[in-house]
Amino acid sequence: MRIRTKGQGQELAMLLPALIFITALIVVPFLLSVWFSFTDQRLVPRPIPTKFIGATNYERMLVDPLFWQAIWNTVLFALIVTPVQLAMSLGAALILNSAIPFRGFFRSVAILPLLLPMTVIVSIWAVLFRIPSGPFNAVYQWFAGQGAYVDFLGNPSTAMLSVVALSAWATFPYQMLIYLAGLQDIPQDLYEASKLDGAKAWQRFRYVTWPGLRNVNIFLIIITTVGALKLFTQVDILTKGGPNGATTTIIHYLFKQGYATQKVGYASAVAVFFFLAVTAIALLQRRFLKNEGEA
Amino acid sequence: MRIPRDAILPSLFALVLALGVLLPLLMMVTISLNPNEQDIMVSMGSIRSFIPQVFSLQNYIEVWTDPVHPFGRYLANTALITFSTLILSILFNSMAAFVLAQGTLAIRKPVMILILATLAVPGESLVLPQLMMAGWLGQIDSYQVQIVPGVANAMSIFLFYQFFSRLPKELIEAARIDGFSFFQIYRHVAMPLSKPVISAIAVLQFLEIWNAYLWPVMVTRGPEYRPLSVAMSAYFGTNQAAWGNIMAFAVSMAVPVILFFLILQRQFIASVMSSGVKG
Amino acid sequence: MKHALYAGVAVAACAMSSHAFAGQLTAWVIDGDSEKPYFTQLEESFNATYGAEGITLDVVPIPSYNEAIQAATLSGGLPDVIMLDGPNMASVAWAGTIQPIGDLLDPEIIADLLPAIKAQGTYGPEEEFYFISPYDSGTILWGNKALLEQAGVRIPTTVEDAWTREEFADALAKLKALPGIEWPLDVKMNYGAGEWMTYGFSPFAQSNGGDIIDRETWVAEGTINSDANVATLTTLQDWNKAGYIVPASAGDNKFYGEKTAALSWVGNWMWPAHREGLGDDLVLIPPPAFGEAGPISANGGWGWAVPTSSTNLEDIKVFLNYAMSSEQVAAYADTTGYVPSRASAIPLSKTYGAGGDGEIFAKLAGCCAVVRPVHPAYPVITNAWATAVVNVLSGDVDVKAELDRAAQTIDQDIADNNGYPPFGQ
Repeated sequence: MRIRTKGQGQELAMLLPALIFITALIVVPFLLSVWFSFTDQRLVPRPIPTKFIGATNYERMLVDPLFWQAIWNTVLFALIVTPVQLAMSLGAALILNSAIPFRGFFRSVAILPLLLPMTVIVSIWAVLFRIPSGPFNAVYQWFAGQGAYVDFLGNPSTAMLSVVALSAWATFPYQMLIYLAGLQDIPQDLYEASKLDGAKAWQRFRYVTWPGLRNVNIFLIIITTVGALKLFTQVDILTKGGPNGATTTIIHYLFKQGYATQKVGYASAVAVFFFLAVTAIALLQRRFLKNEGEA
Repeated sequence: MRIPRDAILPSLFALVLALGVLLPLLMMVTISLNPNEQDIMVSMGSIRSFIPQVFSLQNYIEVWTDPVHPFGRYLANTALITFSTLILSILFNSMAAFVLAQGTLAIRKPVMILILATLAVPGESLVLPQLMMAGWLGQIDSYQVQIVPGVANAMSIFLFYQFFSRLPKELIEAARIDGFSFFQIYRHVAMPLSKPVISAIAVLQFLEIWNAYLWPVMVTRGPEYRPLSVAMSAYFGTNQAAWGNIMAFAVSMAVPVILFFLILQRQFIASVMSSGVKG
Repeated sequence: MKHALYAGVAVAACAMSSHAFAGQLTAWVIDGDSEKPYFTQLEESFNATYGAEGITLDVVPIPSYNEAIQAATLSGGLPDVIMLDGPNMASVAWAGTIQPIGDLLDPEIIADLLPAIKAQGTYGPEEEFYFISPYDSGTILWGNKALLEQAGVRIPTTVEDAWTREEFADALAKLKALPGIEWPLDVKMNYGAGEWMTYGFSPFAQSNGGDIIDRETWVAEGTINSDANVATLTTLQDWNKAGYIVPASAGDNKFYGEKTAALSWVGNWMWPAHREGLGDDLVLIPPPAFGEAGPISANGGWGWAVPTSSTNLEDIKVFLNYAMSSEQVAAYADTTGYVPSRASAIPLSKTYGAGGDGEIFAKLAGCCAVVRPVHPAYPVITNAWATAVVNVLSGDVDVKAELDRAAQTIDQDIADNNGYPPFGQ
């Protein structure tokens, strides 16, 4: 009995530091957000008192067309970037997992985007997107003829796709590495067996590789989606949310309200909404993907 | 050298992939070698910004010796913040995860629910209240204000938890019979086994800190405590960016990390690859 | 617990932080390439002059300046003297972060300031002086002489014979027709929806009799969305639709690099790049008159302010009067390319004195500059206006609806802050 209590004391001592950190840095700020969202709190103290204003922030938020535009853009981005980026990552992983010469070199090159600061990547891409004769448009003109160009960032219908392309380029190596691990976890004898059965490359992918990556896929779909919902830096530097709000995301909206114009109360309402939405999506995905897996 | 027949197509794809990654980076290097800022701006976007015409280290020397932007100081700040965060985060989160996975405390269940719930809280939505708290506590412009938020990491607890809960029961039991205390089991049995998960979490967090921008820029006042990522963006002046310096800074910032990862490539790839996705 | 953990870190941090002593002043300044040599000079010459009297100055350029000031405000760690961007002064003064400096400055200096610079530093219904800028800035139309002559366009040289809106439109149409010109006019859409959109575009509105807020009642409704403003922005939108305006994603160098644009509407900070790119073809054209009010140039910029927390006022007084002396003001201008903010410093400046290349900037600063509204709601005002301008110029949106939304945003913010007392009382 004495030993058991001592053991439990030890356990408590091991659990507490992390618990304190989580409480102080996640739980308390979250509760503060909830509280602020019902007040007209400002970032920098001001000479008039902060007051409780009920659900005003939420009411204003829900009728602001820009807010809904930001939500729609964020969802759209997540819906496009998740499959695009995962396809890119899986493709790259398959290539780098095959018996190519200089495989180590190619693997090193492929992870480079991960190691560059996002600010630099965005600046480089802004130049690539230039009109009328930036590098991408030069390629486009090859097909579409002299003088033709696409205003990738200036056209509301292509701006989001441009952000998708940039984001996928900047972060695909991460998912690629996880896919590589997944690929190496698939037992080689399964491939040998299917080869003996005369399976073509595509069939081997369809019946051995793809099922073998089931868990990896679930994990990556969830983290890529959740990551995509937080889109901010790329948009903030590249398009500032434009043109015409076409690339405003929910975090960008939150920052414009909370930091640029200092309306912390209002931004907190947005944050609380965002939290509820992300939780709901993560839970739904988890349930849906797990069920599908078990079926 | 001979390439096996069924490797020809993948090799071509690999070349395309490498070009796709390297071409934008080539522009970065080209600009960084051009000392003439006006010329950079004039030629931006044309073919000249991809093929170096001049090889001058002037931008690099400027970046390294600028007294206003002490590169060495920034590098030291980044290293200190990164290593402190990693060490504390791995220590605390693995201990907590071990209790949650193998312990006997009654509060394990509610704590686990709390961790899972916080897993879904996007850090970005907490930045404003965290900033105000840091202000109230007088912690702005310090190292700890940049370290502590990274230590509170539900994801890292969760990944450790997944790993620890799959440890064979017999192993734990055997250690207990040998007279190991709970902490000793963690220290001498669980941790030595968790090298892959430790390095996976370390790499994940490293990348997070490496790319951290918003938080450090909000909580620092000047070079004293600022990390590299924030320092570089200072070259994007009010209306005109100093492109040569920005790119030289970016290259200088990336090279040590690239070298580090190249040397540890095998372990690096192996560790990211094992970020808790098995089973 | 935390203490033990970070003891090492804290020790390291303490060893590196510096402490202020009486007689020692610290001033935070912006970290710009063009300003750097001036601040070095300021620190050295100040210390050479006053070091013997026991006052020393430490000028610290701060990268990512605005965020740093925000952080220092939250933590109460502001130095003796700071720099602020002019239009933000009112919101900082209202929050109580800075104190009045009218009593510290030599009355002669204030009397000598350009009118718009004086207005920029004067806050509130009590007209207290809070902020002083050593320089003024301005916008003009920069032109490519070769292209303009090729198009057969009259090139105005003085404020009196500036283009009217019709002449401007006509010039753009002629230039657009030239081979090799893609978009004739660069208005720096690539700067994005930031301060430039207010700095650079509110002069067009003011030239046409509009403004971004009523400066008596501090109500935006009826002013920012006035018919005059709708007309002004509609003209710009039409020009954009006609392909006259360089789009944001075309980059910065269409005028001075590729030379596919013949005109550029931007401030004097672009002078070095323009000079380098165009050489003798560069001409400085006064701002166009969009309407009755004639040509209007943007104005204002960064300047000195004193945080409320500063107590060392005797020494700060010495510093402010030194930094604002005619010689220092002229030196600032000659180093950075900005216009001196004191009338008596203009003749001392090589660029802006009579016969200098930049004479037109000095003229504009004296005759045609309208200060951006000095009101605590300015951050919200500028944000709302900038968003509207960028939206109007990025497609086929309803100009009136955009401006109505801006008006609503601004007025709502002012109401939320009880009118920002003592304003609106």
